Amino acid sequence: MKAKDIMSKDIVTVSPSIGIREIYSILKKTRYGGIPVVDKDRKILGMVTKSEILSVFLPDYFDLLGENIIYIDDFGTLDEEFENMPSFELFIVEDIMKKGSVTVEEDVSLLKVVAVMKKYNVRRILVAKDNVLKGMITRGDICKAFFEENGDK
Amino acid sequence: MLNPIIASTILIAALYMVITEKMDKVIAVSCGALLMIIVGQMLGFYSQKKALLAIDFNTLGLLLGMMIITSILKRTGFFTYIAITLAKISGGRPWKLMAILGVSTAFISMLVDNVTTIVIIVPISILVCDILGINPLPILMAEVVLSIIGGVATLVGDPPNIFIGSAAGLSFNDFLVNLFPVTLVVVFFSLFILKFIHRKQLSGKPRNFQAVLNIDAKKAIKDPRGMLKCLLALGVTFSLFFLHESLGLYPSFIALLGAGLAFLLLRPNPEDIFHDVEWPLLAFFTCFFVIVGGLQETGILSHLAKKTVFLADVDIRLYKIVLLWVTGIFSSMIGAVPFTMIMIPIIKTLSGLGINGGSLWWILAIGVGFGAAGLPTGSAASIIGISISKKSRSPIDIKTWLSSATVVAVASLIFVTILILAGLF
Repeated sequence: MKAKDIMSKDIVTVSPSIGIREIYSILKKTRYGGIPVVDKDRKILGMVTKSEILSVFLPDYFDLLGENIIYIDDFGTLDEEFENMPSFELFIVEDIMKKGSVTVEEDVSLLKVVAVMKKYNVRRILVAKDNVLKGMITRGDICKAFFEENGDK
Repeated sequence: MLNPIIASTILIAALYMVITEKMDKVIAVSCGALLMIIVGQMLGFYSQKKALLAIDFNTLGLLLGMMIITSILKRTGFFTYIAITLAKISGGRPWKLMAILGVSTAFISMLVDNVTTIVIIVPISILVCDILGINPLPILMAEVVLSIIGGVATLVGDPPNIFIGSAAGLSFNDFLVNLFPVTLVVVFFSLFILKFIHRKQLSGKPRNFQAVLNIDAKKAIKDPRGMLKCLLALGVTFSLFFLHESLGLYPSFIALLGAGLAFLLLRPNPEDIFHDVEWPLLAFFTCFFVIVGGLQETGILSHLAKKTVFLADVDIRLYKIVLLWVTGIFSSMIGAVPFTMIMIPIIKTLSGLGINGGSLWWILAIGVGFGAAGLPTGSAASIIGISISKKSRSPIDIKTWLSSATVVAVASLIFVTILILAGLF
């Protein structure tokens, strides 16, 4: 079996200019965990997942605080601002997406897909030819392919 | 005449690559060092042996030892604990916060490396300001600028002092006696200059101070017993620093002894600790020693020194003032460390010529130290501080730097100029 045999071809994509709220409603509607970002020629620009959306809530310097975040329960004014005038509404996909994406060719074996996913620690992988999006494979797709094929025998 | 020109060209080319960031700085200076040895060997002014002798292992050992102790101490959560506790004492008022955190950063920088201090204190300070809803910019400027200035006070406060101490054979106590008082004065008046410059940003009304009070600073300490053990090792190290001259111990030996003691008491995973050691910085210093060593062997630096002696004969105070400002300006532009290394052989020659050299070393230390705050390129602490501030809502830009830190640097050099005129240096 090859990547192209199990990938979903009919996938929802977004352009880099749409807003964060819209992304949220697409994620909710499609129940996808992540959506590929493509330009008008379906060239892959990046990927936007729930974790990218979560990270816009946090100020950039938070990653420098390391473990110090754990014992602070009350962020005072920061909490107030977060709840009252959410600046994250202003973000568009281009600001938050993970640029570039882990891709595989259509003809690679499933084992390779699994290995690449594990290597880059991603939940989904894009199938592309010359960086043009052809499909997407999720962890579920792979499990389904392995277990259901064996079960059929 | 050819040798000095070629050697200077290698030095200038390497510095150019470093300053313009056209090449990674370690790669740039290692190419420069190798080129210096090859060309020097061919032209007969330098050799592999001389290059090895040019490397000051006392300096490298002292830096390595202090880096190890700092890394171990940092991991116990000590610095974060201090920063949060100080923020609580401030009562949340912006000016008090700036004064307490700024002055404490200056004092911590006298004992440990500036960059480590900045990397830990600055993000916590931004967070505290965000919790209070006040502008963090004045506090960040105070921390970065005062850490640079504070480092001047002691032998181990800043790499330039380590180089000077090692080259001139000046002890920890020599530094303390000659530089601590002036640094202390400059730290406080810089703080007030910064207060005046940033008065508008300091006028914000803090809110939610209770949230800061609610932070349990003790939880920042990941390893309370380890912290005490590490502070003990640091205490032993500094006690020995006070005594090193009478005990006949090299500062590098003491620093490495302290590092060994911390290792023994805390038993951290050495791999983690060595990961924190700034090997690229040590490699940079090593290579730069080799480059400056080559330049020195051509005789150009002592020639330069001799050329300037006439000025000292005319008026030694004028000579010191010129030295102060030249070192200050160059240190801010090309960085305190490289400029100190270039100046050391020059001052050595001057001392050898019977000029009242003693105080020239202090002028050099003050010039490069205070001058380093003049431009962001002057020290690693400012480069790191600025890059962290860019992750906050109040990034330090070049305009802010020029209207704040540069003013402080110039004011402190003017202050020292007055001290020289008054015959106090």
